Amino acid sequence: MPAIGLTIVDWVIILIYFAFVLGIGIYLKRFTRSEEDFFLAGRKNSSWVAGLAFLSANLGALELMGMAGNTFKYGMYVAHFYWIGAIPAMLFLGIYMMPFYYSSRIKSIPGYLKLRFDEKTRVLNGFSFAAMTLLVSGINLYAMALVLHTFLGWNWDVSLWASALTVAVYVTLSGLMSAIFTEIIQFFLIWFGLFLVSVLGLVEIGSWDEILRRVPEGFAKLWSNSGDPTQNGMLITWGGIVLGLGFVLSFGYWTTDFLVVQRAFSARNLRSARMTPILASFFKMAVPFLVILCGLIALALSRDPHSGFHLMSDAGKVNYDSALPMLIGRYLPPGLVGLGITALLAGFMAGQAGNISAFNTVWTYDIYHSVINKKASPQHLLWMGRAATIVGILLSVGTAYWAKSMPTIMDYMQTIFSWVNAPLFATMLLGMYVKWVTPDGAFWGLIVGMSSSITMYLGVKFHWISTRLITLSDVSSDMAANFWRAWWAWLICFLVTILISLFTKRKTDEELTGLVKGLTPKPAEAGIRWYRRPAFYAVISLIVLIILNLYFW
Amino acid sequence: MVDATPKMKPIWFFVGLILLSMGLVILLAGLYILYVHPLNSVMILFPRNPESWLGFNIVVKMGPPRSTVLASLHPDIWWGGFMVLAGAIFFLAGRKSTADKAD
Repeated sequence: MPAIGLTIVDWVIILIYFAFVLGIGIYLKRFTRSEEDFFLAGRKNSSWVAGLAFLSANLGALELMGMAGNTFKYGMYVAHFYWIGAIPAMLFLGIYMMPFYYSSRIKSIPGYLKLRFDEKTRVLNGFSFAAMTLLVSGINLYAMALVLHTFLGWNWDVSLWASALTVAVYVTLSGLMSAIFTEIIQFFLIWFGLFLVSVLGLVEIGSWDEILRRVPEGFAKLWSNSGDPTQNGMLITWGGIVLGLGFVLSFGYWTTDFLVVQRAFSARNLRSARMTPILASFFKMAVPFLVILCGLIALALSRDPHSGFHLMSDAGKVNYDSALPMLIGRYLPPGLVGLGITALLAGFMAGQAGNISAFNTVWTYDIYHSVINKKASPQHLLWMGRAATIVGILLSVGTAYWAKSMPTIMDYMQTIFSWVNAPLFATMLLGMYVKWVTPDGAFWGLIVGMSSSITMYLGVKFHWISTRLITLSDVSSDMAANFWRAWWAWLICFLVTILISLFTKRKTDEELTGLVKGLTPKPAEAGIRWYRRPAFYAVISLIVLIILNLYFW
Repeated sequence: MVDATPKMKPIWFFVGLILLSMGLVILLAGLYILYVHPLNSVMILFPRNPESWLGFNIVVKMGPPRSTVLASLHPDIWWGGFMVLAGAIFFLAGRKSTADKAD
């Protein structure tokens, strides 16, 4: 495919964006004086700021392009990632888990594991999270360079280094603060840059009903064909969706992945921290109207031979991720196409900044301060955070080159999450709600849970075991296998943790005060009116979720 | 006594500023294309060149105007206008405020 031809106006738009994010980094540096400013944005954000950043940290361009492409491949079922696969977990985080996190004044998720369990569990999670973050960050960089190379015709190396250096500059200057600022700007750019694509697609095809009429029948439903995996595009049953995605993967990601939870830690008080994921849930539910709609529009157009629309191919293999950029090129005129490209760039760079700001925090507190230099002063930790940002970016660039040499690496992203986050959710859940769960139980449960997930993955890949054993079905897709593997890894971690806890030494009630249900005071809400309480907004969010699922059933 | 601590502008100020500036560029470009002349495309490429100290060259190539589906609806004009409006609201709301108050 020839590169999309940009006009001078498009280049001006892209330039404005780069100037802006660098300018914000420089502007915010004067407000970044302490380690808390750098790692937690001073803990002074409102729930709106933290909520939008919480959502945007997850709304990278890889996600946008990948999910639009997945919709082309699997149909409406991809909406499960945004609804049942996100909202219950976000509400659970806000209502039940945030009081434990926020009240214990921890700076990271591994920090909670140290308080609740012990140092070895913290270090284990710190290392696995740091490795996962760098890998995801590198894949993100790789994907960005690929987009700039494919659609703008840019040299691969120039694309990669230009974006990596920009992120390095503004995160090094002001840490989480600038990451949050750029994430919120990215949120607006994505909506202004890409929602118009959905609108124009609807105008061209005629109506929502017409889009559904043009796509295969199994692709146009959300639940009604989930009883038989052969009847839906994702080849999965409702059990896999509910247990694997809706419970384990979703709760594992949204409640324990420090990349997103760090945004809630930056809130100014407990109520704002609890409201952070709840407010974000409303925006999360709206994302399918951008991403899923674009994927369905691309699918409907590609099935119409008169439309002239088709996805790119790499060596005869359809590139599903090209759906969104191809629609941008189809609909957006000069100026707006620059905005569309900028929205993707902003998504990539904010995703990169999010990963790096989470990495520098976990490295500084949970690895460096915990293992290497326990007596480091706050100023030294601030310096280390800045140094870790630069090293993290360089390691990401290395990972990006590695990803480039392995063309299928992006397929492994969901797999990586199922290795780390799924077992961790079992550890967290037991840690917060069962006071007799022991440090040794948590540590070995986590080790066995992660190992089992990796073993299942390798077992299927090298044909040691049948996929049927994992998915409980004769037919399944890679996505279905990911969902089921996550469920089994969670269950194994859950059971092993309980089993070992029965025979090992517990912590005392005094040591667990403020960390476990029953030993933690309930959030004080006496002075807050009912319509300002987090639970009120969580109920509204839940009602909207139910209505959406019933409407698209 | 004067408080020497600098006050941070709220994020909404920056959101407004970027939407306003981008919207203005898109709106004016749309009007120019409608009433004056279509814009040629400009490719900026970075081909490898080991002999350059940067490792690559910077090449600018001009091309014909790009046609898009539904161009007759002039989405650049009304969407650019919408961005200017939204940007102005955010900008004005955040202009006199500080992060502590506005958030």
